[in-house]
Amino acid sequence: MKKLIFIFLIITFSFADIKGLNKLLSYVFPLITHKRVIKIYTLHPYYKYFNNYHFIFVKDCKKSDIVFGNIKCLNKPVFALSYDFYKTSPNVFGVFYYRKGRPQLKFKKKLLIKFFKNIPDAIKGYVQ
Amino acid sequence: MKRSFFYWIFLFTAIIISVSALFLFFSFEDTKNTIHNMIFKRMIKDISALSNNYKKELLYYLPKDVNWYDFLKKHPELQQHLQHDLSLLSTKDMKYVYLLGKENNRYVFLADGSISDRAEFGESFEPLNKKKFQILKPHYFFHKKLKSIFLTYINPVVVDNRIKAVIVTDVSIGFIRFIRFMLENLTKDIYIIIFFSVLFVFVLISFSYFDFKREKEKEKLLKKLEKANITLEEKVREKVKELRQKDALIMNQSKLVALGEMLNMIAHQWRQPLNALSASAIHLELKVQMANINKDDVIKFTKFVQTESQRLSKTIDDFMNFSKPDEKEEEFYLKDVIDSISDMIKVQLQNHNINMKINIYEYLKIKSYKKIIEHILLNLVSNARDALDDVDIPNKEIKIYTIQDDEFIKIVVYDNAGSIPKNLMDRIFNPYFTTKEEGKGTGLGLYMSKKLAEEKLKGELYFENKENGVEFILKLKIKNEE
Repeated sequence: MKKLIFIFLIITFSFADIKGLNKLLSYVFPLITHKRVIKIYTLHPYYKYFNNYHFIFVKDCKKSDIVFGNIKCLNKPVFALSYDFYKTSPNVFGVFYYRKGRPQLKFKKKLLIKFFKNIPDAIKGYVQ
Repeated sequence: MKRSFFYWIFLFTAIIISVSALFLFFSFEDTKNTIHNMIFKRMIKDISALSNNYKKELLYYLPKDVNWYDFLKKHPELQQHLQHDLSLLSTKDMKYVYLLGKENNRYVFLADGSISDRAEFGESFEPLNKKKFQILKPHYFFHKKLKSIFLTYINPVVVDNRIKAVIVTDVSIGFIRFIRFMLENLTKDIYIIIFFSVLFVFVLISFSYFDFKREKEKEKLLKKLEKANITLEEKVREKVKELRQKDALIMNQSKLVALGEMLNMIAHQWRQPLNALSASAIHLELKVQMANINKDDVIKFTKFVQTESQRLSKTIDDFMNFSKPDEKEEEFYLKDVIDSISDMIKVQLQNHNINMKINIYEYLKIKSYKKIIEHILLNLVSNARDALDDVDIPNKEIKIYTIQDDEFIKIVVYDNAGSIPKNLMDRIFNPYFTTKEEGKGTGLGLYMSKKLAEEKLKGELYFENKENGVEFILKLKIKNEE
């Protein structure tokens, strides 16, 4: 069931851009972090205005639970927005990007376990 | 309701234009779809042919019994070669051309010939609808939700009834936009034509409507007018009837007047013979009393009585003749008519000291209604007599004479009782107009005479003031015997 909801969210997101991404992440991040409210650090002004009660945007990346965007911050887990950054950066545990116009979501198994010690069933199909 | 000619013209034109516009619209839509489909089918054929060629290349280079991902991973030069060949298929319209293989039940890029957004070898790919990638035959499907891609053509590489890889071609939306753009300009023109056609039809229908309304109004007015005409006709008929009744009444009155006049004349005519008879009877009685009567006296007396009686009888015959109405025209001597009148009125005129002069050619013959002419002339002479009665002049006279030319004859009755005053001239022939003292005139004589002269004799009756008198002229058209 959870898997189905997730797939629905991914599809929804792909057509509704920011609002969809907001919904997707507000579903995914609590699942993997096991937290209700997640501190997020991002440099993307666009995403700072996520209207979401699960997220708190922090100004210092050290205080964050997840770094959002193509940013490197110490050992903090990073959720990237490009495949290249996802591939090359060591702390990027997941990525969301578009390939050939289709939305793509990927997670690195190793890093999920390293940072969150957990791989939720809903995202298992996207874990590499 | 009868529609006007223009209404039908407008309606016919409007229908023709509407049908033409509809035909144009559907015909254009049909043509548009045909063009669209033809280009589309052509494009699918091209994509199919290219990907089939590439499929042949794959089957030529890659072994059928191994996983192609693993094989290409070990042979990067071949992967590069295949990717290069795939990139040759990529165009602006065929935006993404890529080869997907399978690794751990997941689609991975084996080669990507796309110009932009090129994936690396081995990158996993999550299609939106996996089922479409599992069909064994080449096929295509449309995207409604993707922004930049219009259509995806999938050509599976099947070996032993299993899909080894999938050649995917994503057709850019720009391609269809280009076709649409090309057709759009034409569409605009067509829509402008249709718009003006509709506008024109609307104008025509408006015209038809207003024309119809106008016609309706016209018909309404015509009906009103017809109704008014009928009412008017009825009114005129009623008035004519009234006038005829009035005329008949006047005629009756006139006849009564004439009868009175006649009785008066008879009385005058009879008075003298009756006096003579009475005197003769007295004379005879005296002779009998004096015993001085003989046979000759008696014979003389009886002869006298016979003569006078015949004379009285003749007078009655004359008046009877006079009062008989004319039924048809006859030819007669005018002198006879004047003499007849003279006989009737002579005694009266003598009693009133009026001298009557008649100056008429003895053999003047006319063809007309004799009695009516007698009636008119007697009336004129009577009027002259009455007028002369009212004046005190030494030589009272009435003249009757005729003036004749080739076409007309004028019978003139003149009296010297003075002319008609100017203020009475216009009313002299009006009915019930009289200047005579009460009981003497009815005012119908001249009115009836004029009416008879004009309607029956087709002539004229008028008067002219002369020095010391007035002339009444009865003008008749001379009718020659055929």
